[in-house]
Amino acid sequence: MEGQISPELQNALELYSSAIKLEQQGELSDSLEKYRQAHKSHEDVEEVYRKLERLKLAEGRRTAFTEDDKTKSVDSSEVNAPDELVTHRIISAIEKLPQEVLLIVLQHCFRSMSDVKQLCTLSLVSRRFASALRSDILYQQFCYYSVEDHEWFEPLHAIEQEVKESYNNSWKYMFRKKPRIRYDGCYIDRCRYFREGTSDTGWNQVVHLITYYRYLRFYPDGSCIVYQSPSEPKDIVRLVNRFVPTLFTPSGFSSAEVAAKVGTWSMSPSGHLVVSYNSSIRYTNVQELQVRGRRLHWLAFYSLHTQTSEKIDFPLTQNRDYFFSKVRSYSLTE
Amino acid sequence: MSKVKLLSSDNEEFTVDRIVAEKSILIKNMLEDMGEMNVPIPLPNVSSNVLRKIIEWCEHHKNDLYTGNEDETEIRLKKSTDIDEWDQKFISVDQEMLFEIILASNYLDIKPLLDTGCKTIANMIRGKSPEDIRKTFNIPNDFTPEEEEQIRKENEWAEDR
Repeated sequence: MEGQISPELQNALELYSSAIKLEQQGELSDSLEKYRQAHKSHEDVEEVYRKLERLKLAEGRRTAFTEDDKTKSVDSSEVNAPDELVTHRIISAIEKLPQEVLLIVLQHCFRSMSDVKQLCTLSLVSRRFASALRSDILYQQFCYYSVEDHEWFEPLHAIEQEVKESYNNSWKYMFRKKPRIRYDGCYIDRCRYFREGTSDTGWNQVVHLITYYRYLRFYPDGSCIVYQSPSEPKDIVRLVNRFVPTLFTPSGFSSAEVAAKVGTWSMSPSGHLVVSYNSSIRYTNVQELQVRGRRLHWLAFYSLHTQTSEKIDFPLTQNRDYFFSKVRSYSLTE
Repeated sequence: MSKVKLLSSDNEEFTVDRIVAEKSILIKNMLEDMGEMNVPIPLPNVSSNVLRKIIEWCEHHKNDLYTGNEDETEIRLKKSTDIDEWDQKFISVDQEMLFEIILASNYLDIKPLLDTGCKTIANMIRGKSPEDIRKTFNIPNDFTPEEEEQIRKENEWAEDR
């Protein structure tokens, strides 16, 4: 036995056993240092040590047998038991699951889109969790949730085709990059312009910076709310709702306050978004936007005459991109 | 009704109806390949106490319809329904047995039981902090602080969901 052990391993084993003694005495930091040295000196030290201990136990049992035949009741399972107990405590049962089974567990952790935010929490459990959570099959599941929630406005078979053709067969890439519309929040464009004011003295020129907001809220049935207001988002977003009637009637208190309109929207697979709504009896306003992640980038803004199709372009100078912000009440109600 | 004999890893023999044994796709395929078998089928990965549990489950579910070749997509799109009452009672075992059942149903290829087991684990995971999950399952934290930071950055985007 001894002859097969290399000097490094012998050294490692000695360090290991003194580490165990120190640990039993409560000298934890010294013990840890010894463990470290032992592992450095031979990486399999732990396994070999256990095997040797088991052999010793078996050896002891054999001598006990010859000494006294009445101790026969000691069966082999009892000899193995302490060793199994040790490994059991060291390697957790969940970490022993094969990767494909751990993945089934993780898939069941994500029951809907709102569970996707758990990704970070679950990844922080262990390296094994983190690496399993990078698996594309989970992202395939997330993509199906996007389809279910109508975020992409396309049927499942179209999505399955698209992942092959446009997203390198990577569901993760598709889930992260494919333009989508979200319903759990509001898209807000903060518009600004300057207006020259009149000065009392004439010595200086007064310029007013005017800020107002454009709000867009989408619904999965293809309708949307188009709203414009000088009021700050924090006061408004909760009210941007199909079921708030006052939103759709002009308030008359402020001239800048325009009644909200119900419009329709559509989006191409590449994220070209068209929002249209009636601005008056004869005219339809159209906002053309490009979805870029959480932003909607302005492409065009115009008015169409419903009969003559005469087109009047609006300048885009005041407009910046719409930004998405999540509104908690949107996902709770309706 | 024809009977099938199963032999656990610790050499205990179980005799069950063929329809019960065939809940395991592994055994079903084996029986189809070999025809009638008079010798017991050895299951070297399943101990008798786990096998007894598994047979109990198969007995209860022997008349369930399961074709085994359902469209994968269909399955995934189906809302993961809650575990039914009988299964919930059945799976109320200690963690060690739970994992044994999962491993055995994976080996024996009994998908609905594997799913029930995995759902049960998922329920123990959902809504917990990383630290609590580690405690529940005795998982050592093998991250360095730098790696943790890295993981946080990697998953930042998912936070607003």
